[in-house]
Amino acid sequence: MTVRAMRWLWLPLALLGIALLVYGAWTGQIDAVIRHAKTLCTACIGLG
Amino acid sequence: MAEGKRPAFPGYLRFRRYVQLALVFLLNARFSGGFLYDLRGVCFPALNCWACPTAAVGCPMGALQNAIGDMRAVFILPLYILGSLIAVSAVIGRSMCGWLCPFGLLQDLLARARRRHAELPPWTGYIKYALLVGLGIILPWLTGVPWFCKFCPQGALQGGIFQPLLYPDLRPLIHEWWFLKIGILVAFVVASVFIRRPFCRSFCALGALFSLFSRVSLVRMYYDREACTDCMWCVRACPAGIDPRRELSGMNCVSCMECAKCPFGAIHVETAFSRRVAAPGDEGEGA
Repeated sequence: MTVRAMRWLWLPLALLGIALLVYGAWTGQIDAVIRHAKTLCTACIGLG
Repeated sequence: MAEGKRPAFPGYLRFRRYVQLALVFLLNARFSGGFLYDLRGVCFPALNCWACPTAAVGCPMGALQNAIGDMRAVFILPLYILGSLIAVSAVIGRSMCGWLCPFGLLQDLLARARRRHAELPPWTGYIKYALLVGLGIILPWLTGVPWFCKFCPQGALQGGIFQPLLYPDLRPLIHEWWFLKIGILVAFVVASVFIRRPFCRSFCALGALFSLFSRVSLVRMYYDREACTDCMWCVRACPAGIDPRRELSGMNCVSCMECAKCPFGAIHVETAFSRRVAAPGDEGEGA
């Protein structure tokens, strides 16, 4: 890949990221994130 | 440039501190009874612990580790989390660290207590990659436990202190690990007075992930060697304690863009659309 093309590497990366994000959200992965977010991990903060 | 006249720099650079302060409140605006919003399903690209009683957004590092732990039971790649991190960092690189991260703000403020700061050896910049791979990926995969969270000083600050403070029922649960976490937090608080952004530079696994994209992101920094007078202004101004002439957009650069206020206009914020923007390896970029 030429140095000039490297300038635009952000674009396919951003599109890939958006595609993964949308597909992940579409398949319900947000629910898992919310479930973990709403369950206090007491062990993670040194409690219990 | 006329003698003594300071080149103009983008006006938004003046507002970085205000943006950082605003984000502390915006990311922690989930007040019980009259909360503003609850977006904990959104992995906001900054280290803001979701164990904080008022956390309004999700921590991407916590989410990633938990998702990797869940893969032990059902193998589902955390595409939503990875996608959000890749998309954001491909556009603004590691600017989240310099502009949006509450723990970065804390370190910036603590560093103001002293004028002179100690330097970290360059090899310490690689520790964060080891922590990302070891504590953030491999150990959660092997054990199902978010190990980076167990050591994270931001978690100690937001969760470890405020949860027992607000909920007395949790206080009997305090045990040795809590003291270890608080000890790590105190160590970084003290270190931040003497070393600029020690956690971001050497220990932040999230920053390590973002730094992989710094050099290829849409927004990046440009160093003009010809305009540089080696006055060292940027070195003194850098909140991350790096030499922007050599390490601009490098693994330890938090893309705060403070160096773009260079009195000689030798460092600029550019995008891929800018005419003079340099790609990795180009002459002219401080890499």
